[in-house]
Amino acid sequence: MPRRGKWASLAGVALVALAASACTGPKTDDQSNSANSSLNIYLYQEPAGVFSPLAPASGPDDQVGSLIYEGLLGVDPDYKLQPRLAESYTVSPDATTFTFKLRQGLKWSDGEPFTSKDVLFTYNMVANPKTTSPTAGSYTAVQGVAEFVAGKADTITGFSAPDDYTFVIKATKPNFGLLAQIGTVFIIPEHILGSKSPETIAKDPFFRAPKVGMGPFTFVEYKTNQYVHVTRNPHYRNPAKIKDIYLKPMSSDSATAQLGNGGIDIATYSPADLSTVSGFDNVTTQEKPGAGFVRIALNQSKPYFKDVRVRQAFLYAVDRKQIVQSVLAGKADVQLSDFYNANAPSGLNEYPKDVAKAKQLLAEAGWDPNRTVKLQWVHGQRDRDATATIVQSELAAVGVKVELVNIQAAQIAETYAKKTYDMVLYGGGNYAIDSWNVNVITGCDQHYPAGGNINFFCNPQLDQLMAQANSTADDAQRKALYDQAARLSNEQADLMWLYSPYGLWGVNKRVHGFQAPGSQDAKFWDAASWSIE
Amino acid sequence: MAAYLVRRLLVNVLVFFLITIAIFALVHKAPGDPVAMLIPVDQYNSGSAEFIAQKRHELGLDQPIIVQYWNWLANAVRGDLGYSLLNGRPVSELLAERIGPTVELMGVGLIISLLIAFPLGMIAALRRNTALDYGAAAISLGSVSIPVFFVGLIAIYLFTLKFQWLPSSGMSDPQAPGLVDSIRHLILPAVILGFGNSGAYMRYVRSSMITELNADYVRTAEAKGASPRRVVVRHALRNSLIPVLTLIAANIPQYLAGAVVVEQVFAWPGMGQLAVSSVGQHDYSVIIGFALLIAILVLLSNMVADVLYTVVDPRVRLS
Repeated sequence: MPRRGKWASLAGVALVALAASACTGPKTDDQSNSANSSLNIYLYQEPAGVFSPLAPASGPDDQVGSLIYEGLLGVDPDYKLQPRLAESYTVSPDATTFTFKLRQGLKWSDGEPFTSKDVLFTYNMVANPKTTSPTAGSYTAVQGVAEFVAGKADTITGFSAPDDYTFVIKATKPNFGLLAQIGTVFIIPEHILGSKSPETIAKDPFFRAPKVGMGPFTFVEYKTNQYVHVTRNPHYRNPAKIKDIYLKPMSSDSATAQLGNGGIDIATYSPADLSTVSGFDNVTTQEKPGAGFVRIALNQSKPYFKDVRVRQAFLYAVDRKQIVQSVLAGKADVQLSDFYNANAPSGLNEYPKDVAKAKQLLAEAGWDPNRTVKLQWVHGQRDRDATATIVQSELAAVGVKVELVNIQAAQIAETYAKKTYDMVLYGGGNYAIDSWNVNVITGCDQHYPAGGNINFFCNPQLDQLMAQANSTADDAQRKALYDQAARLSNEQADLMWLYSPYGLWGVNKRVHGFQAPGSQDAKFWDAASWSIE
Repeated sequence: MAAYLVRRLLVNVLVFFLITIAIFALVHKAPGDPVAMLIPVDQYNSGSAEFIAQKRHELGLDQPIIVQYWNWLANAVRGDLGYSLLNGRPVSELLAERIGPTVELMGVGLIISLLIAFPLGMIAALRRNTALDYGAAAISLGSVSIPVFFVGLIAIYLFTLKFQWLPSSGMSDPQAPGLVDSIRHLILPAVILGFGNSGAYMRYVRSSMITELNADYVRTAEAKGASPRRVVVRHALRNSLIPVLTLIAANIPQYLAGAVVVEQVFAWPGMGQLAVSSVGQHDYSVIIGFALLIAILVLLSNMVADVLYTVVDPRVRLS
């Protein structure tokens, strides 16, 4: 029929137009010449768009930050603190004083000289609660901060810059771990922000587009939810080999597909995509142990979790090796204690699956077989969702009834504050750089909300060992004390440790020098050394 | 007509206020605290509780809800929708940034779904109960029942990975921008969105065409010797546009709420993405601002749909 013909031809024209535009464009996004000097990196989440050491921690924003800013120290992919803006540093033997010798002759990306006044300015700001810096609480360990906050002093005595290239931090008491906690803060320019008041600085538009920094790249623009564009900083002490980097948020499926077609050069992938990504000809894979671990916290303010035999039984009930194999395709380590596995001593109890032992311990502890406990977690990550159901069934096999409860991230804090939850599955943390961070989750004085000890565990002997370890600058002594602490916490089963997932990264073969960090949200290391062939 | 419009507008304003009250109350009463989420648990320290209290005070969240509503309303009527809890940016700016990409995607998606729905619907109506009709019915069933994200993922697998014809995310390539590049980025999400919505339209077109084709005036026209083409196009098709047009006008706010799934799958920087992330993070001001926008659009487009109805069908009178 003629009328149909009219529609058909219209549709045909539209289709041809679409097809033509599909075929006339560049085949993929990376084959154009300009791409030889630009890199595309996948961002696992949309950045908040505030790139600042004063803003709440945000993985993607900090990843961008690691390209445009630098701190006195940085963390390399092996979790060792390395001097960055500092050339060297010393720690006093009693671990109270940290002295940084800054590199000389460095310039900001706008050409201004970098000196210790920038460092002093930055630290005074991040330690000042008036700026609404979420990390301000960590700085109470620095001398003079308490007086400053209370209004009794105008400056913080614990931060000083005796000359243009020296910066000194004094702690209120021996605290070796303070170095890892505050030594890597991104330094911000005093010559631009020095006149801002603490009350307004965090909201300053500078941090939406921080064009002046000490990093190997400088910020160009953030096109909301599309990409962040940074370009080579000509004033960086070791000029980058790559000219432009584009960091693009998208879904993980999209990222994997674009790893395959060359549209994205560097991306994390999940163990489920392992065979797909390994199959890409143009991609090499890198894996790195993570700094944190996935765990189930048992609320020890509830009487039935106070008995160590119950906690040990739960560990014996679950086959964690099997979870690593089946849920994570082997790309994780079973977590044996609160400590980063590589830092932990050998000979820890691995709590291998032992149903009989679990039942025996539960019987000894008088576990009520009619009791149902709730396991809550934030739904959405494949491995955790699968793990929750596996744990439920393995605990059922030893006579513990578990009810699974999905909870929203925004609701979780309330269950901690009110101590209403039974078991919560969560992950994260960074215990690799310095074992002192473990204290945040085990300390008697760290019970939420004073700290991150959400299982309300308390063992004064452990706290003492940890405090002793943190009070000495002697590496060997510290290691020996932390080893004792690790053995004690392993025996006390304060947490139900599950696994520490590897960071899995796919890197296009044309990219050289990229060293994968241990997780998808970890900062990038030494971007100046990356190159494209 | 004018009296009707004025009355309608007044009713709309009242409904609008009621909506704002309801949304405000619901959003704030939902369990969960967005401010507490700003610090990950294992970074909690002695200053965290104070930081959270400070932030809540700064955002006015520690005041009674009536006060919060009043403050919000006073600002909203002046065009100030507040600031995002999470990144401090003005809500109106966030919405303005996202509406363009959404309109583009929805507009093209709508055109594509009509391009699919009309031919299929007409063929189905004209060739009722034949293989063509059943084929069209199968396609429309597929469009309605196959989840959009599934089609999206298959499309990404085929067109981005296997054939390497089209990009799978974003609106443009920052390194090689241009019209052709923009079109290439638009194709997959728009076609998938269009296909997903075409099924319902197709059925409407088919059934209203069938109704019209059976009407007396069609038989009269045929008896008078009008060509089949004239009958179908000039008479039946035009009259069957009525329900479809009103359906489209009523659906516009739904479109603008952003085919959330498509935007997520293809990382299209539109309003749907904003809606999902702000709801997940309990970003109150953004959620309320967003809901407000949709409320206005629903009210307006329903009004427009009713007026359009009278234009297309002179038999209808508004009162």
